[in-house]
Amino acid sequence: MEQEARVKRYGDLAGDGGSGIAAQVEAAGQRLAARLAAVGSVVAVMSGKGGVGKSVVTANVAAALAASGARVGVVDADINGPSLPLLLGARGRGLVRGPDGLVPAVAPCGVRLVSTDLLVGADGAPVVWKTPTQADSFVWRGAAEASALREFLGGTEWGELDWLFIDLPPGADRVETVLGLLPERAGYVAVAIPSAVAVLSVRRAVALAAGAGRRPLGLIENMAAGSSDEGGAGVAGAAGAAAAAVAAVAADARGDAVKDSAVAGLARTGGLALLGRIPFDPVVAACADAGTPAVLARPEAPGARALAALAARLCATAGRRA
Amino acid sequence: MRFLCVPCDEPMGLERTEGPDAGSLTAVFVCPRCGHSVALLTNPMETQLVQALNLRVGPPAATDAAAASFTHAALADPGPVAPGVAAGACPFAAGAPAGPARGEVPGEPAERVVWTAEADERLRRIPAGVRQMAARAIEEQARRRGVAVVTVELMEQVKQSHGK
Repeated sequence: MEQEARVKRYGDLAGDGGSGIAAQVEAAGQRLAARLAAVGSVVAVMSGKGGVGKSVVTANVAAALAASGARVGVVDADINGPSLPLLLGARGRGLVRGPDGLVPAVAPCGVRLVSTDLLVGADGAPVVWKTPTQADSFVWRGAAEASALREFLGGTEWGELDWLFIDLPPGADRVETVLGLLPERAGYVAVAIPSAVAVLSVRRAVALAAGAGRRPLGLIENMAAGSSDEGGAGVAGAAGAAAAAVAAVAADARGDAVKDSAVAGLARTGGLALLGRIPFDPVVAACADAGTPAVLARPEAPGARALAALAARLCATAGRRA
Repeated sequence: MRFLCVPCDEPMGLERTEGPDAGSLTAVFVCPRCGHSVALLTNPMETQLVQALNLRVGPPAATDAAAASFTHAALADPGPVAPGVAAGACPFAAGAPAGPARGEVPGEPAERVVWTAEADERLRRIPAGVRQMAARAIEEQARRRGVAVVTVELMEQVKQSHGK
């Protein structure tokens, strides 16, 4: 019986047959690489869990660095739940089309910012993609969001930056997508709260990030119990709690074992540096709602001091001076 | 995706595209050896997938307009994204600083200026195309006056000082 001849397979074919798709993909990659080449440090901020204060941390660290004279940009990668314009006091600033891409908005503190919140029409409107029908949109919605992220990173006229922070959405599903777009030198920090539930989600996200091969810069414990005073004098509150917190921070600075929180445990088992412990501080939340980062509006507050110290430590970790 | 002419065992090349028409894209491929042609027809969901990837099949058409941005063009309810406009089109824009925006000069610490909620609301009423420039101009005036908070009153003063 005569065997049928084997037809060529996809991998046997050269070129793209005239569709131009391969060239478009390559051009997009080159454009992204060129944009990010003008950025000193690229840092993804992730959590794997919502409600841990990741965006508030991003906004305050960015503001602190900008206040020190650094050129800072932020990509609000939470396409469907953007919050950075509110946190940085940049809502309503709008985006402008430049000759070579979108021109980022500039927050009052000088941080450059791009976000879907700056693109949607009505205030507070959800992000809905244009399509004849939303039926079966689950098939392509992820692709649209990834394309938007690619544009925010590579299709925006960032100019020269010292820092570019990418504030990821909650959940681990975007970790690989975003980290895959970043250059190999990019790093990531993970934000967690002292909760076993949160730490479990962060652990998964960290594992995904490790698989993407990007540099772990450290772990941040937000809403930490007690009052962490990394920046100065003792804070108001129970003297005993303050003393214990200061002692814990001092012990951390010495490299000793810190108080055994779930986050500290994750840092140990995950081989991550504990970059900072931000105390639960209502002032930080109030400033966030007001669109004025606490590090600028209320620098004396314990949470603000800890966030400022975090920014300084991040600089040291990334090899830059604050 | 590629098309292979089985009798010739040769890859087919893209000859032309049509549409999208009623959400359907047509891509016609032809075998360079025997001339046999096939058409790939996409349903609206498949068309949307290609568009969501910010890709097109084939060379750009002469009628393709340059979108402000992929994301902006893909949103169902986008806000305005205007080309950068020259100063003079808005009473606040006349005072826009000619140099780089605040925070863009290396070595110069950013002077913090915050906006009240009322002033922020007033700013949002300014057309999007000049809003950012107006914000910069107002903040520059605030710094010159030694003011750390932008209020509606300050905005009025700046507006009146530009004679409009």
